[in-house]
Amino acid sequence: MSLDSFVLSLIEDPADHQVLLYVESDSVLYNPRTRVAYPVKGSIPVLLESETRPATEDEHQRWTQPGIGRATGSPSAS
Amino acid sequence: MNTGAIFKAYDIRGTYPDQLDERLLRAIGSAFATFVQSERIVVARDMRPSGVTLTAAFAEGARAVGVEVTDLGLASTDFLYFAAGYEDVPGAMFTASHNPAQYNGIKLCLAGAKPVGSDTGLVEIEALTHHFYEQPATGPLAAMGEKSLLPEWVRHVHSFVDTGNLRPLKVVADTANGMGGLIAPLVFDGLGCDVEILYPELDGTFPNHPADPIQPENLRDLQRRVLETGADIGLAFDGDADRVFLIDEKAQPISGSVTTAMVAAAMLRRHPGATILHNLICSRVVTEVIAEGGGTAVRTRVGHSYIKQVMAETGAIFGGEHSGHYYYRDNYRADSGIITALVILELLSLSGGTMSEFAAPFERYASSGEINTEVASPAASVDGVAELLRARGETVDRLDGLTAQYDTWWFNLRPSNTEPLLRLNVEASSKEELAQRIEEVRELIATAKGK
Repeated sequence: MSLDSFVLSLIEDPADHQVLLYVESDSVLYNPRTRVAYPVKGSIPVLLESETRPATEDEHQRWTQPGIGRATGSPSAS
Repeated sequence: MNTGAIFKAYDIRGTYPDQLDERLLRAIGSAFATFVQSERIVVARDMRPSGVTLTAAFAEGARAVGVEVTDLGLASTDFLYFAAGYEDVPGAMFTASHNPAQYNGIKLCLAGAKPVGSDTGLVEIEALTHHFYEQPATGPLAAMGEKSLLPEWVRHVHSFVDTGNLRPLKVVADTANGMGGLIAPLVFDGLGCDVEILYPELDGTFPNHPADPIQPENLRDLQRRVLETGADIGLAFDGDADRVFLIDEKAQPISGSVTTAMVAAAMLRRHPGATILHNLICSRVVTEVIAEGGGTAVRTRVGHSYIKQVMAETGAIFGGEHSGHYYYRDNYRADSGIITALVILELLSLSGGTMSEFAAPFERYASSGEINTEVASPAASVDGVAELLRARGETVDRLDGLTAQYDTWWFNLRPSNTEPLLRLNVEASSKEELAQRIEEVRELIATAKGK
């Protein structure tokens, strides 16, 4: 199951309080600043530091390609 | 008529129509035109709905004392300063910068884009305004014309870089429905960068988010777009596009201090030994980078009229403020967001790396940003803290508010010029130390209040 837009709009990184990238194909919420990935288990984003893992260089490159991830948070006007 | 609330330290600002109306604007127009003693002035306005009416009233007031008015139409503030420099005539920009839609205001300058602030004419203009409000000028109206200087402005902005150095960068610019939506596409056209403009429609009601990029919440849309599109850099302009803030490719905001340091380093490579200004809120990295580049750093109070004045006195080539204002000697010492954006794009292109890699050597300290606290008497709070520090035998610097410097950290506390707010900035060697020092300063403020 994937995360829907409403859930995504509510999410930010609990560590730096900024936007994450949701990479549905790999079921992760990725912070490219800290290169840390949070798992998405089923339809549940697990935003716990204890559950994070560092991204490999290959994953970082792949996940930050245009169009691969969806940014969390909601547009200001909505 | 009470003008005290609208004549600020650096500009005129208030709500329309209760604080700023046509009669008052006509009086200000006559007052400014009388003060500057020029045959002609230029005027321009941002996209606020009240701008057309207020500009027309101001222009009529100026014309009624025999001064010709050239209307430049819709413009960014940095464009108006350029026009006042290029045409060597005084100028008036109708804008309330990042303030909400119900506000409008005027940023004034003399011929050559020389600043007008409370120490440099605004007090006299306010007094003359009272005179013309009670006794409106009735002379025959001098001529009114229109002129576009946009092509000249774009050429001028391009002259700050070698456009051949630019890589085909992917850029997202959030112009926040402000004047950047007019200026940025013109400047970036034909430079080979892939530029996407967020919220380009000129709309003074700011339907998407406030046009104040120093507030982190106003960067969210740009951060999201930068990440989703894999952009190399994000640019966030304020409402009148004289300020710009940067976002790296990871959506990490880059502070005004770090941007000042990056531009300063580049300026010193082109102009060895030059003098560079920074306001006292800027990070220590700015003075370090200027010293490392062989330049001379000059520290000033906060505010554009001080910076411009000291730039003129010292012959400085560049000046920066933590608030996203960047001033260039070759831009008539005026600040410009779009020139800074282009300079940064050139630096990023030449670096061959990513924006975060380019910025990393400048990210040396942890900064609190500006922490605003509402207090009954901001000036008394600052004095109280100064007394406490002096009682401890510490050195207190009163250039602007108070600054206390220590080995690994410093703080500045200053009262707002316009609101009952205390502005605190703290910088330390690490995030952990920063959190601890902020608490220490807050305790000092509380102790001073209780005495």
